Amino acid sequence: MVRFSSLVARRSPLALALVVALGLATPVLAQRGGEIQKSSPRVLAAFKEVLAAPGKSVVQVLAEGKQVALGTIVSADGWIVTKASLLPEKPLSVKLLDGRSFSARVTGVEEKFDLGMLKIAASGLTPVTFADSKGTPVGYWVASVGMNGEPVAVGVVSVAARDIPSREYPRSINTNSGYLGVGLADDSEEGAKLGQIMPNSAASKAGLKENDVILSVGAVKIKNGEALIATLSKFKPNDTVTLKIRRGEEELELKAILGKRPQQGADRSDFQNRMGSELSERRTGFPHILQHDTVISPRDCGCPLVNLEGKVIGINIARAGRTESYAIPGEKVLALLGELKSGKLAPVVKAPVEPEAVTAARVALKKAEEDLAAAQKKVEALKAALKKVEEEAKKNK
Amino acid sequence: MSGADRTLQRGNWKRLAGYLLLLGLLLPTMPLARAADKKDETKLPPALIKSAPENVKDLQEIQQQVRKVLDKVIPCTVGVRVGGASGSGVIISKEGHILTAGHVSGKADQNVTVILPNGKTVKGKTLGSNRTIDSGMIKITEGGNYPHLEMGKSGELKRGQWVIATGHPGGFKPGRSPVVRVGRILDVSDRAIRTDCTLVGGDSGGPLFDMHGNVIAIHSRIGGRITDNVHVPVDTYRDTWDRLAKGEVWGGGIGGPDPNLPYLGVRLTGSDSEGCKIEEITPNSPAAKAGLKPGDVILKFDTTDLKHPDDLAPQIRKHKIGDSVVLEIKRGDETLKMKLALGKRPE
Repeated sequence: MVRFSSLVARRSPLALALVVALGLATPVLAQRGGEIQKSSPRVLAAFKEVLAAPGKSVVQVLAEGKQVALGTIVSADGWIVTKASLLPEKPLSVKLLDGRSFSARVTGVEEKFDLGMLKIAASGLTPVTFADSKGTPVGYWVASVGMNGEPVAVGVVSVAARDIPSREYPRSINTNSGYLGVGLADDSEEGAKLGQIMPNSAASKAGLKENDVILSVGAVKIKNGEALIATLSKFKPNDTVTLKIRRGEEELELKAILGKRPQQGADRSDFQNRMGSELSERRTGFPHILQHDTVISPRDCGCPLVNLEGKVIGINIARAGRTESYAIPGEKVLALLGELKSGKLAPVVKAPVEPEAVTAARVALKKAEEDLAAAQKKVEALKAALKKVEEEAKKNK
Repeated sequence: MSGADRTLQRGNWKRLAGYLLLLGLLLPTMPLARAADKKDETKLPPALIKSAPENVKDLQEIQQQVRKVLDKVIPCTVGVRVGGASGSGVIISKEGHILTAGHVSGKADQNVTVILPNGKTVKGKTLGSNRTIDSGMIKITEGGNYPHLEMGKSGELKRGQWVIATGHPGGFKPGRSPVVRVGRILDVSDRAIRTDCTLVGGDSGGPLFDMHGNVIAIHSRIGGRITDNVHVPVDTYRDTWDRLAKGEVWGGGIGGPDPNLPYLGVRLTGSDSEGCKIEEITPNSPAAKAGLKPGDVILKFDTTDLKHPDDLAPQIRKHKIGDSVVLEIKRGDETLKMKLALGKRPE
């Protein structure tokens, strides 16, 4: 990823200047182009006849009255698959095509594929029939079906279903530690000297400046940049930290509310991928996907991907980049259904956690770690003492 | 309306007239162009002629044609690595000429790794580029008899026409075939084509095809909207074939700065109120050799007063590489005069 982005980085100030200008085109141009685009209403209308049947199996998943995702009915007695990470930890409901609403329970989550199973107390529903995605080769039309069989968008298969090597998505999964938003300077005699403050980050909001030296985070003294990284990694987004810093001659105390690390780093490839459409928050880490060029909305994930024969060849799982949307191929979804229904993948029911409890647990952990370190020190000291005593005993013999 | 848009829409007719004439003059010396002319184009299915598909039968006709084209064009879509950067390209001669974007090939005679769709890599060299429109060329330097495609005629393209894009978004990835996108031409001029085939970094240099599978344009850049995907028309490659093939790099703009313009080697702060205040000096540049320092303010270029940061570049552009110029500098409270020779831009 980094490699190709350097290509664009070399020249893009110029290229971008021009295209950004293009992007500011007049509404006249936009409208003019609109009627001939591949996803114009006339083109979408041509798909209607094949989507009528699979459209009966599409539901809306709602939380607090708002659509959070679409879902696909997989059995007549109320089982529905959707994109798991779109489901908030709130009461969920499902709205059917006929207007009826049911409260929904999350009965299974397959983390890697981000596939969630919902159960509603309904019967006589129309489930989809999954087809093997191999019957729909690269270049064939695919439609993403919304409720009542309207295509939400259309495109073609860009790359056939494939395994994604895990090395292509190692970075993006652990984004759970708190993010301050600073770059370190090279030269620092003590503490952690800041070389860069990311715009709009926790650091910039807290008033940190370039060349500030962070001396401590809470009660933890910061010896160097490494120590700053290690210490911050123990906090979570929204945690408040007290930073003791040196700015020139002065020593100051600032409070920062840690943010969330940008998912893939704010590098240029990410910037380009975000140009022109909204991306899914969880869009990497799927072990096996079919890639298509349809511009779907992140909130429409969970809906079926249908070919020109009206067959469901996958479930849309992510708007992944400017050129790509991902679906889990039909054959893969079929293989996962049993497990998702079995209850083995049921999410752990969590009691609401008070922020104080989190802080207490963290303090306890820190104390235990310190105790452990002290104990290890003691062990080393006792070992040394024992050795000494033994040697003396030998000599005295 | 922005300036860029105007160039995209306005003046087509005027340019087109000159353009057709030029094409006519060049044709007799262009074997590739002749080959394309002679080619007996099979007729396209009726669905592709309609302003929009009306039913599933029309959609099926389109997808059958897309499949036919893909069977032909996928083996000719390549990934290219030049230095640390990667892009895409398309093979258009059996000797291994590759069309790409000017900002991918960069300067001439660099080593290139060409990645064929099966993952096999072969060596190549960069040839020429026209940086004004961002066209570029690469040649494979080992083996031969490569599967290759014809260049179509971008001058005959119409808005609404269906097109296919292939390439390697994000760079070549083992196990992923060239990535296919289908869309339509939204705007066309003799300098740029806009489609709704979505592009992203790494696609640069990849091909856009008509529904016969002829190369009609090369991916160049994107804009803020999902429908701002801009390609360089293939006619411009045919028109400048000899210059590109012999490794000439010319023009400046989208594909990079003009290598034939003289170079001073300073970056200004850009603040209106500070005039031409220097923020950074490029090491070993004419400015560095003359002893210019960050913080210096250039007051005069030869006899011309400089008041605004934008005043400097036009003065440099008036000269040739090697010309001597005199700068009047304010450094602290002093005013200094320095004589220096403008140089060549480092690549």
